[in-house]
Amino acid sequence: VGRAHRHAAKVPQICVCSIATIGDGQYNFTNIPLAADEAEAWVAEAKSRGLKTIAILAQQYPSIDGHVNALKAAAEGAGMKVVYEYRFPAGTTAFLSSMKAAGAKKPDVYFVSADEPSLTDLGKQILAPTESSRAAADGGIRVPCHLAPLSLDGQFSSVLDIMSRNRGGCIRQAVASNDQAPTRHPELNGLICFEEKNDDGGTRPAQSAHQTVAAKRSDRIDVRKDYRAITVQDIIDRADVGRSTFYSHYTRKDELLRDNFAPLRSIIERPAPSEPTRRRLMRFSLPLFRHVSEQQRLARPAGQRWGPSDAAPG
Amino acid sequence: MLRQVEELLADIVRAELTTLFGGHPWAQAPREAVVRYVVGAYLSLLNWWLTTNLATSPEDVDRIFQTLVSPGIRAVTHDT
Repeated sequence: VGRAHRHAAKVPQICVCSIATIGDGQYNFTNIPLAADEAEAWVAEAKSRGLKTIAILAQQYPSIDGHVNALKAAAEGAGMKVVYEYRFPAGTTAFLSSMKAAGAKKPDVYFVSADEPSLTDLGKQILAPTESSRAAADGGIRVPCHLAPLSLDGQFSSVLDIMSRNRGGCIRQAVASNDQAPTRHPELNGLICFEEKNDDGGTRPAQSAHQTVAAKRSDRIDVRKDYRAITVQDIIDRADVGRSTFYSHYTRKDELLRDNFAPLRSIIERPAPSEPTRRRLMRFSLPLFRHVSEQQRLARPAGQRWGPSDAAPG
Repeated sequence: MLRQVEELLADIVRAELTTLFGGHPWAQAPREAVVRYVVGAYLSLLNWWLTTNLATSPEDVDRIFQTLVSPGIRAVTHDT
């Protein structure tokens, strides 16, 4: 799906990924990278910068757990060492003692993943008390940020995008931005940042589309919990739209979901351009395979393992 | 979500079978069984493709799917 298409009113946001650990298990209809792939990219980046030791400071949260575990596995595979790990409950804001303990291990790099308000506090404190992190910051070390749990909120972010389209961005841009300039959390001063949240209102400079989405994304709805348990109020809250706005488009959340599938239907019902002239059965097959292939290509940073080069637009 | 896509595909397969082969009952197998068989085969193949072998092009996977499934559909609908 090309850029023009993407900016058209209904962006096909649904893609089949084989991520066993999220969503429904066997199949997930999101357009997000695997936690393992993100971790590999992160570790590869860190390694390319000569970093060998990692300190993990991460909130306890299911999706963050997944990313931390993936990171540890990738780090181990690449010969990097986790020298410190601190997992804290949501809402934690005092990090000085843990920062001190982390700093004593002289990690080359910090892996930070948290929601607000923890993230900002971590950002402030990570730069203040530890010499190693300061040196890293001064040396201009930047590990691409994000790589954060885009996970599984992909589909709901896209839902939100449809509802608040004028606010810019779409989740795929956020995904595609993985291999572009890293988003920087101001408090982390370019050192690292994971999972940001836009709580600072207008204080941040003009945001690119993917930053906007990244901000929106972290205020996410956890689809893993249970689709049935998600209320319209949840959606309204996260999308930051009024109840009347929601109901002027949809009467139930199911409709929102179905609406999100409409673009997929239009893609797979469209015959493939190169379709043989003889009558063939199951015409949805090739367009859908192509769509999935294209989504995978978009969803993965350049140079990573997936993504056939001959993917045709869906 | 899987359920949603499964149903979406089932709708499409059902519609295509009806368009091509008419709405009358088939002797060999209930229509809905054929629909589910085709959708299941498709999703399984898709899963195989995504988890093991994305070097295979979409056209190649489609060819595999067509080769495996078309004869079955033709047999069950007596469309030879």
